[in-house]
Amino acid sequence: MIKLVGSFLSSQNKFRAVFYSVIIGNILIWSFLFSLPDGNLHLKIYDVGQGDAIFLRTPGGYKVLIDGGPNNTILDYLGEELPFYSKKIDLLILTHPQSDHLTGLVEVVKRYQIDNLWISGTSNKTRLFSEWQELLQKRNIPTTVVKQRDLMVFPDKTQISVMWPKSALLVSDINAYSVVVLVSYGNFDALLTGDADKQVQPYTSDSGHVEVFKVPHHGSKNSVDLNYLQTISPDVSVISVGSKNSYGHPSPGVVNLLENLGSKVYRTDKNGTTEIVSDGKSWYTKTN
Amino acid sequence: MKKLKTKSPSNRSKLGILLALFLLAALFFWRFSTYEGPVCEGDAKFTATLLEESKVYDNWQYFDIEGYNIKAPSELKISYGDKLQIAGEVKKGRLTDPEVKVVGGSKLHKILFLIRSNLKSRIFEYLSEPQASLLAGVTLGAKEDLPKDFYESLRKTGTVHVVVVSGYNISVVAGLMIGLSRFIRRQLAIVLALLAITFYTLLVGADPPAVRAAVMGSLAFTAVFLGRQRFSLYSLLLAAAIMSLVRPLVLADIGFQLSFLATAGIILFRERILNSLKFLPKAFNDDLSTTLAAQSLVVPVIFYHFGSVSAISPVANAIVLWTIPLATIAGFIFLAASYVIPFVATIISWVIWAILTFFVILVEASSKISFTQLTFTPKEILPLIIYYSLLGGLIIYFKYVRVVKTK
Repeated sequence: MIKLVGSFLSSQNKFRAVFYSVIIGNILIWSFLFSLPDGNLHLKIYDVGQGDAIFLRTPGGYKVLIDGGPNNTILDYLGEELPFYSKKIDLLILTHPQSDHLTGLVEVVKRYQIDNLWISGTSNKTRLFSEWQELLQKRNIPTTVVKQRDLMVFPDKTQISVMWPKSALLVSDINAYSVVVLVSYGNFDALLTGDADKQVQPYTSDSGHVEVFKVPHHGSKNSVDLNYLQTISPDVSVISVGSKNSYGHPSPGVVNLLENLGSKVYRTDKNGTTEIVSDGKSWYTKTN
Repeated sequence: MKKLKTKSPSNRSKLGILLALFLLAALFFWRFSTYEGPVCEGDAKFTATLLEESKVYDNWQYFDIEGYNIKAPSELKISYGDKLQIAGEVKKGRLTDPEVKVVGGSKLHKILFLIRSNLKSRIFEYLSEPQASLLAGVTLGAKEDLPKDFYESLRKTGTVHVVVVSGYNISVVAGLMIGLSRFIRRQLAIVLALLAITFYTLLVGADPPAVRAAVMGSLAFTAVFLGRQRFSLYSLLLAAAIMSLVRPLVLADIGFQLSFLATAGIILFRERILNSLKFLPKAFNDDLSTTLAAQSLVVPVIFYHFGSVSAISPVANAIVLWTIPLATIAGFIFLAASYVIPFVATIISWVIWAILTFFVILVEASSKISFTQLTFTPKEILPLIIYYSLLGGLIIYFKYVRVVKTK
């Protein structure tokens, strides 16, 4: 060991040591500079296969993660997204505890510092869910069961408001209890819906136009209600779905409906990860 | 390689060597003829210790045990080190929904597993992907957490060997103990080094490449202890002999084949290749000649098993390989620090992150160059024989030419 360190520092290797240090130093400095907030809101609907995982970086650099997808792909995305010196997620939202939304979060909770966790309060009988519950207790994560009108406002004025679920509702379907949130910054609104489909739309009585609509339940046959869709008239609709999934998602009828209403449709199985960037006034989409 | 100085042995010791060789051959014959491998089709019933984590999905979980691939309901709760009694029907090497009973467990394995998972969780808490699982691979030989895409890039660029515990890891572990010899008696330090090698090898899961490195490392350190010259090629052959005696199936293990051949290649050819590459910059030719030497014997076997080989591998390795020893040492220091001084561990983890980021970026970039894969029909034995006989012929030819020249 001492020999190894010694040989590394010997005069013969001094040039090498300097060379390596320059490379390492440069990587650290440049990645630090690139990690600083750019003053825009970034919303990314990740391509994670058949499931949901959505990341939001606010203009001030606050980080929100909504669902973790059906596998651990989310860890690679977070590795790119978060800087090397911070493993902090300001708000984590689990829309509902089904494996296509929950699986990736188990490792996320183990590896990242979660400042707030929002859940819908429903439970599931799976092994995955009991493992998740144990983990939350063990890691002592501040958890809130949220309901309509709950709200988080970040210092940069980005607002996350809960549209669903309503407090007292009794349906056997876990999907119907999904946490639905509206992300607002300036004039920009994005509605993120989990799997809360047509049976619970409209989520609130005072719904209005949104720029971005994350289509509920991977665009399934019953995902959207026509009247509600007309009310929110989204400019962009994103369907988070895996290619060749066994459920036949998304339904061609739903895709047609969205397109006929003048909404541009992005699908993670065809377009890959879909990113929307906004400065609060205008916005644009980016795919790879 | 240096020429070995040997005294001409007397007739009596010649007879002794002959007898020893005969006994050894008999031992091998007995071991191999009485060995029974896993069944490929039909009924199977066996008891074995689970030596990996089961992959649990919604309805089913999957694990490998004793050469079998098992598919069992996800409700079944089993953990690393459990002794399982399994009975069922094998179809194409897989047992679907067999009868599984936990009939005991290995304390040692469970403790090792706990230590390993704890060390891994430290890495995952401080670093992000894919640097985290890369470090887990480099220090603990953990391949199970590597992101699929990244693993594919490693394979494509011929750099996947960095996540295999090898001679370097073993020498660092033993070196730590030998370093203590300043403070304690040298003999004691060597005993500690051997214990450390054994513990570390068990900790990383005792894969064939790790065992190969551990046996060779132990032989090397014992040779130093006994004051004898060490002959790497002999210790490599001895390691292979011991391993195949204990577990004949190891010869069919791809990891064992690659590790054995790569080491042999390095021992035989590295110096010579380095001598003929002296015109290249020093920072570059060291790793390049090691890679070329290793690959000279490994390439046909990779062709045989996978049907494709990375043409960019020597260049990719020469550019990125310097990061791995640095990351390994820094990784060991980081792991120790994470239990004592978290703040220091954080700083070290940034440096490791930067080192491995360099590795990741270059590996990803070179995996995207399209013309780098040479493909071939897999499982053909003839090209293998032709290649090795040609190589053997070349070596003999060059030796002969050299002898003529020096005369």
